[in-house]
Amino acid sequence: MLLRTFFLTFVLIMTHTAVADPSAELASYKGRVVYLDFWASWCGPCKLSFPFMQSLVDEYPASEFAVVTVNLDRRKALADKFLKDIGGRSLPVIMDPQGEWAEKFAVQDMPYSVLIDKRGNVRFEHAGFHETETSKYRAHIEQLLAEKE
Amino acid sequence: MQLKDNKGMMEAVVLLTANLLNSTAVLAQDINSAKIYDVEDDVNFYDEAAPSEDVLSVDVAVVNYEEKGRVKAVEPMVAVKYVNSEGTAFTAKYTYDTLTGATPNGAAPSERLQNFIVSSVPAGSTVTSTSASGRTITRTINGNDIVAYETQPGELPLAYGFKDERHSLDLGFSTDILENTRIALGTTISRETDYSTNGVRASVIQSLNNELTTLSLGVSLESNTSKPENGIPAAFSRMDGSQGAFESLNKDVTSVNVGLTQVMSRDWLLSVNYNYGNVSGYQSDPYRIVSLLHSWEGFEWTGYPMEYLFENRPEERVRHSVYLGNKIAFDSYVLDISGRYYTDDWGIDSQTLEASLHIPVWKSIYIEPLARIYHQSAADFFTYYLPASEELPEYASADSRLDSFDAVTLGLRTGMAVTDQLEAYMMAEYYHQQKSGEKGVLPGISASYDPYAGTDAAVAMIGLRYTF
Amino acid sequence: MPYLKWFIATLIVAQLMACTTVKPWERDVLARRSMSLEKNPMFLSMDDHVYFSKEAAAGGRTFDGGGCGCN
Repeated sequence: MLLRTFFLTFVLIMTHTAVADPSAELASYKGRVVYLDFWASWCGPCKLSFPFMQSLVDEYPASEFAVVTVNLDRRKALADKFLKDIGGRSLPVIMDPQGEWAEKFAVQDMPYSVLIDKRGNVRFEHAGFHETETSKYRAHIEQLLAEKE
Repeated sequence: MQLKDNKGMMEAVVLLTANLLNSTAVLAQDINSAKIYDVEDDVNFYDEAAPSEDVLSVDVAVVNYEEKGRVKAVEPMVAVKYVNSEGTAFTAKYTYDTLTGATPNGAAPSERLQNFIVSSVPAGSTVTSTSASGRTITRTINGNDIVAYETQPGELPLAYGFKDERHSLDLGFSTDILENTRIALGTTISRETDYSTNGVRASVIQSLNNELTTLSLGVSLESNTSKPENGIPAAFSRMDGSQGAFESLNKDVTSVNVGLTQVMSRDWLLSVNYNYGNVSGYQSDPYRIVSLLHSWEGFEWTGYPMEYLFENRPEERVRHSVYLGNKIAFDSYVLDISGRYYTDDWGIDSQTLEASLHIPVWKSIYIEPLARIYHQSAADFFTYYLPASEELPEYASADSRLDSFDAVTLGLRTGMAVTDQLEAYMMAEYYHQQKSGEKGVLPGISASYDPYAGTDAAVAMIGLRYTF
Repeated sequence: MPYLKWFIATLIVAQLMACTTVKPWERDVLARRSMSLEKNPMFLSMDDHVYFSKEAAAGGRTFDGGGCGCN
């Protein structure tokens, strides 16, 4: 039990200090449209945004489009539980408990999604998630997909 | 068991390495399978966020209220709340009250046996009375089991056989009309055998500062009608069992509420509230009397009740209150501390201070001890009796609700998540009330009796909430 | 008590001046059930009813604000 606690602390410290630098991390996605979504287990609308994002991955080709999520929970256990409850297709999750990614992208609301074009520039930002606006989100994605690199 | 642990550790090392090398983003799958420790079990249900969109919840609860030797009430209630995925909310709540027992009738204790006449009109006879609009009404009396009741010497007069039923329905609706602006509308309807209320309310809630500040402005209008079976007696008329002068009378309440909620820090929420109320119309209690006592000094009869007169309260009342509340989190504990200052033009000033501590227990339970202290000053026209040797004042009432007193409430609340969707809750409180300031003194031979009519009460509630 | 009103006003202003900026992703604590202004509306309405029937004072808290601040 004690050993477990030690290990947990160690892992947590290491994940804190080793948060990937956003620009380096996203560099590997260059050439693709990226839907970068900021979420947390305590955010109600986030529950509704996940099925939407899962459907986007199914709709658009992986060579052109990717969804990357950033979790802002301070307790990993809460993020785990949320993902387990949501189920479905798994999406990439970057753990950002200190909010470094959130600061860099100037997150204004929860959830918050940022659309990055094939060249790596931030083009659209969506504050919150509204089921009534999903056609607008898709329109933005398609606009970026249509662009050449 | 041992083997499982070792495997888990290996997976953790893989995770660790991946992070150090900044090679790939951690996949959700990895998070789920690398659940080395059942950390999930450490999270208390009340530390999690309540679902806020796409939610349907139903509450069923029952309250039991008891005053020592007096009023008893049982109040079952059902409430439903539905919030759609865009945050539009609908609420409905139905409450049923049954009240039984005895309540002070306003008369003062006496050395003599006292007799109070409720009705001197036999069942089956017709009576004529006047409504507030001046209309004359003739009706047949159904009759009451209780025509008169007695109070023993030295006891505080209580009206027995008092039984009432109340049905109440409250409906609410709220929705976002702009990105940061919300409106809330509601209506309340309440019906008792001798009293009915109809009310509407509307408020606008504005979010500012990235939702750190919330401002609200609300108005509510309420119309109340008092219609006792024996009619409403004229002010200071004698309690001789005759029909009241009025069939029914109205009271209108207008209130305005201004509220501000501010996120002070990650762990601290502050609320400030100002409430203005204007009450206009019939505000006396049609059943309450004030003893007219012989008050000429030095007589054998000094202190004896000569008459019982129905009370009279002003037709206008303006009140103001300011509330300040804090919710502060310390780890998983939450301290709720609030105060309220109230004043009105009937001369009543009151101060309230309340504190509670939310204590998480294990994974799915919380207990919350609470304490509240309250003080109010008496209304200008409050009195324990009317001296017969003096001219009648303009207004007078002996209702303990208008007396000066201190009260302390000690309570314990608890909630338990039976499953992720079913929550059980309970609450028990004890309310102790005592006279504040100089005790009332009755004249002559009644001087040895304490006319204070306030009393302690015990309240308990048990309920269930199911969230679909 | 004329000074009481001023005292309360000062208290309110002092409290308001003490606030810090909380980022939208830092509202985890505020989103908790235990930090909700409406943790159990049934308890609150019961209390209101009891106090209203025994005391002269009226008026109290609001339920808007706090929480996760989402959407």
